[in-house]
This record gives sequence, structure tokens and C-alpha cells, in this order.
Amino acid sequence: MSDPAISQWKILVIDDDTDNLDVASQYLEFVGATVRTASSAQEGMAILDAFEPTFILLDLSMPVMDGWEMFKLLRARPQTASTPIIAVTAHAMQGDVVRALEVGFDGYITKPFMLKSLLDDIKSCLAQSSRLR
Amino acid sequence: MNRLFGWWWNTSLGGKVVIFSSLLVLAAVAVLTLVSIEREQSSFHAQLEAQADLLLEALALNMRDPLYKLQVSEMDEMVKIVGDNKSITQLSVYDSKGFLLVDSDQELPIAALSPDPVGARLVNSESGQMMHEWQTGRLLAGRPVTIGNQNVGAVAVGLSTQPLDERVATLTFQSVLIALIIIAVGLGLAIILTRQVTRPLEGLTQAAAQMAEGKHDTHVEVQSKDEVGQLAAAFNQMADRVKQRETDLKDLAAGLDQMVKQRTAQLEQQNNDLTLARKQAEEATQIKSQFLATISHELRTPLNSIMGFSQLLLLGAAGDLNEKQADRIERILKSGQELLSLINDLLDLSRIEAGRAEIIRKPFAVKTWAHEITHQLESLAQQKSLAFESSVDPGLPETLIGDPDRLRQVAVNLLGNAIKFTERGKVSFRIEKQSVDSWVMIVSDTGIGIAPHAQKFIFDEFRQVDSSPQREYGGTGLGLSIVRNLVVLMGGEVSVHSKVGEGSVFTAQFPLLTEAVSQV
Repeated sequence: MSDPAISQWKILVIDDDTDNLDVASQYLEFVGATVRTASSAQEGMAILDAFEPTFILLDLSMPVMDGWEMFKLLRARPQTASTPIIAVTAHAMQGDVVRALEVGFDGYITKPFMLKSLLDDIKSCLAQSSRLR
Repeated sequence: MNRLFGWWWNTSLGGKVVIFSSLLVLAAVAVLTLVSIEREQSSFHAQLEAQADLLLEALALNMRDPLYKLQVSEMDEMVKIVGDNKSITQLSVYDSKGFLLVDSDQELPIAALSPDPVGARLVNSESGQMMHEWQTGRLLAGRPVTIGNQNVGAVAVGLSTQPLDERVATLTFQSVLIALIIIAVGLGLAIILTRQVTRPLEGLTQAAAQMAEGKHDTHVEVQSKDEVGQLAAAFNQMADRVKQRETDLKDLAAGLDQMVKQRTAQLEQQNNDLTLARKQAEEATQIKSQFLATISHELRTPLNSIMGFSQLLLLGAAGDLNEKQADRIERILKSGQELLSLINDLLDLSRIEAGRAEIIRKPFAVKTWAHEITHQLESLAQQKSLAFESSVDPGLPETLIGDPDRLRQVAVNLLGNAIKFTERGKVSFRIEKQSVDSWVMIVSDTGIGIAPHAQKFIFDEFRQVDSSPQREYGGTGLGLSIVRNLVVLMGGEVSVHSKVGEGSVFTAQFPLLTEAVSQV
């Protein structure tokens, strides 16, 4: 189960739904990654400096500050300007995917996701974003 | 000439009649006058000649003796007595040689060197021969004077034609007068007659002109029963007819106008109703899509936890599971997957219905495409121990034009159904060229089949054959509806042939697009 690449991952997962947060974090930890969770954008911003994630899984639909706004803040900060950010959302409309990629997200993963394919999806998103950078 | 004809054509009918009849009367009077003058003249000539003859006879008788004796004074005396008559212009006596002896115009004839031409002619003519010579203003008549067979001289007399001239003048004057009176009367009559004809005609003309201007209630007075009167009556009849026709037409037009207005109002109303209905339908579709999108999101979030935790448990993330526990959790996960596919189908259908499903056209390698689908579904068939056959018609171009993702969706739906409803036998997936401009996707199975009455509505939403297979086989009943919607969107059509207990054949036909079309 141990993948040397995955053990290097430091992932920040931000989702207002704690169950979803737990599913993602528990699985990613299970496969060997280091995971920190935040149940709101503000909380996520607070963790950033201390944690310095290799990439971020960001839920788009959240109260107070949604994923779109937080994405802008993250990109505005020099420390996270080039950190890969993958949108994770239950919005499955075609327009949402296109919009997210246009804004500059490094990937888009639709909930619900199968755990096996989540890893593949993350890997392909990271590969694609590193190619682009 | 043209001007003359022009003038003639421009003259009114009455004018023509008057001019023509006047000319006729004039000609008739002229001829009559000339004839009567001619006759008067010849009768007067005869009278005058007879008078001259009588006079000459008397003279000759009385001059015989003095001529024989050449008693000039006696002759002179006699000439004076006889010549004292206004109508006698000349009285001459000639000797046997034709020399003038006595003349009423001269006192004494001067002895002439040669005989008088008239006298010579007379004395040389046969005895008893009369000479009549018509000269201007008079008749010169003469005869030889004879004793026995010997001409002893001659006498001549000139008779004035003045009475004749006077009478001819009077006659001419009378004739002209009569002619004038006749012309005047004739003209008057012609005018009156033509008036009688032309006045009603003028009335008719005016009425016709008025009618032409649109005064269709115009009538003319019928004054007589002749042709003109009949014409006027016919005109009035015509006017009545025209008036009637006009009224009818106006009524008809008014009726039509009314009908058009009513129909227009109806159509406008219908149009408004339709616009409103369409707007409402569009809004309803919009609201439905929005609702489904929201519902989808709200369902997916808890479903993610259900499926995620199920998988975590199955992975042993929370400790080892016994067989029973693993089986139950597998079922939870499977149900979650079914729920997810239902949500996906609903979203898809609502997207298609809202017209937001975009169909792209691009070239794709049909063999690779079919192989991917076969690879995806073969394992499903194997799970149920079904044979799975797949073929691509070598007659098809290697590259087709279309939307490979949407076509895959159609194929997967049809094949998924085929596998789902087949317990024994095989499922086949064939791609074939149908004609020069179409190709088909044929999915057949040896499954339970579809009853004839159900074949009509299996492409409708939420319609499966009956409730029991739905329970037995699961599924939402949206798959075939999505298939039909997608096939139609791609310009094709889908049909089914099936026998209960033997199997089903679904045929989706698509236009065989060429590269050139896809460039558009």
C-alpha cells in the first residue's frame, strides 16, 4: 500500500462537510500521505503558513467564503501562488468544470468519487499542472 | 385632308346630321331651280319666236308693195308706226341686194358700199325661210319679202329679251327664297330631330360619365320608346345592376373585413397564448434544471460519505471485517453507485431537455472507439456468464464523424440494458454500414424481450415494461429515454425489434457524415 510518491504528499483538504472531510483525509492518510483538514476557508488560511502543503483539495461550495474566493486569495499569496489547487465538488454540471479550469484550478474532481480513482485523478492533475508550469 | 377628317370626326352627331341634310336640301333646290329656269327659258323663247314670226309676216306683207316700188318714205313711215313699241328694239328693211333701206335706229340709212351682212343673208335664203338669231339681250329675227318666187327684199326685227331676263331673275329669286325657306325649315327640323336623338344620348353620356366617376345611383329619364328610349332603359337597368353589385361587394368586403379582423384577433390571442405557454414551459424547464442541479449537489455530498466510508471499511481502514460484514458493506456501496447513476441520468436528461446538451462533430477512429466500449462492458457480461460479440463492418470508413462521447453513452446504455435483461446466451454489439449516407449501431441480446404493447413506450421516461422486472433488475428507466434523446440530437433514430422470451434488437441509425460536412 505504500507508494513513495504519496508519502511525500502534504495535503490540505478544505470542506465544510465534515463527513466528506473525514472520508478524504482518512483515505489519503491510509494510503500514506500527510493530511491536514479545515472545515472552512478561514480555517484553511490559518493553517497554511505552518503547514505549507504540496497541494490543496478545495471544496467549491462553502458558506461565508466559498472555494472560488479562497482560490483567489491563495493565488494572491506568494507562498501559495504556484501551489496546485484541485477543486473537489458535488457540482457535476459541465459548465462548472469548464469555469474552474478557466479560472486556473489545476484539476476538478467530482463527488462522489471512488477512492481508487481519486488517487489516479490527483496524480493526473498534478502531472498536468507540473507540465504547464 | 387629315384636318378635314379630323374636323368631321370631332363634329357631334347632331352637327353631322344637320350639315348633311342641309347639303342635301341645297342640292335638291339648286337642281329644281335650274330645271325650272331652263323650262321657262325654252317656253319664252318659243313665244318670242312666234311673236317675231307674226310680226315679220305682217311686215313682209305690208312691205311687199313699197319694196317693189322702192318707196322708202312709205317704208320709213311704216317702220316708225310698227317700231313704236318698247319691246321692239330694231326694225330693218333691206332691198333685194341686201342693202339696208330703213332702220328704226337710224333716220336715213347712208348709202352703203356693201350689202348689210344680215340683209344679204336674208335675201339669199329661200322664200318663206325664217331666221332666228339669239343675241345678247334680244332675238334678231328676219325673213325675205317675196312676190311670187322673187325675193324683193327682206325685213328684220329685234325683239328685247328683257321680260325674259326679268322673269328669270324673279324665278331665280323665288327659287333661292324657297330654297332658303326649305333649308331653314329643314335645318330647324334636322336640329329638332337630332336634338330629340342626341339630347337623351347626351343625358346618357353624362350619366355614363357620372357612373364612371363612381356615382352608381345615376339614372336617366326615359322619354320615348324608340331605340334611344330602350337604350336609356337598358342603361338604367345596368346602373341598377351595378349599384346592386356594388352593394353586394361592399357587404362582402365588410363581411370579409370582419372575418379577417376576427381571425386576426383569434390568431393574436392564440399567438399570445402560445408565447405565454412557451415562456412558461421554458421557465418550467429552467426551474426543473435548476432544481435538478441543486438536488444533484445535495444528494452527491452525503452519497460521497456513504460510498467513501463504505470503501474505507472495505479497505480495512477501520479494522478487519468478517465475510458477512464485507458483504453488507458491498451492498451499501453498490446501492450508492446505483443511486449515483440515477442522479447522473436525471442530470443528463434535464440537460438534453433544456437544450443544453451540445453535440460536437469530430473525426474518431471507429474501431478503437468500439474496442474501448467492448473492453468496458465485456467484464460485465462475463460476470453473468454471457457471451459478448463485437464487430465493426470493414466496409465503413476507418474514421467516422460524430460525437464519440455521446455515441459511447448510447452504446453503453444499450449494452448495459442488454446485459441487465439477459440471463443466458449472448449479447452482441455490431457497427455496420447501412447505406451510402448512414451507419447503424446494433445491440442484440437473447434476454427476456419486450412485449409488443410495451415497445411503443420503452423510450419514454420512467417506463419499464412492468414493475416486476424493475424490481428484479433494478435501473431507473431513464437509460432508453436518454438514448433516444441523444440519437435524435445527433440526427439519427432508434428502433427496437423484440420477442418476449427470445431477445431484443436495438438499432440506432446515424447519418454517415463526411469530412467535408464536419468542416462546416
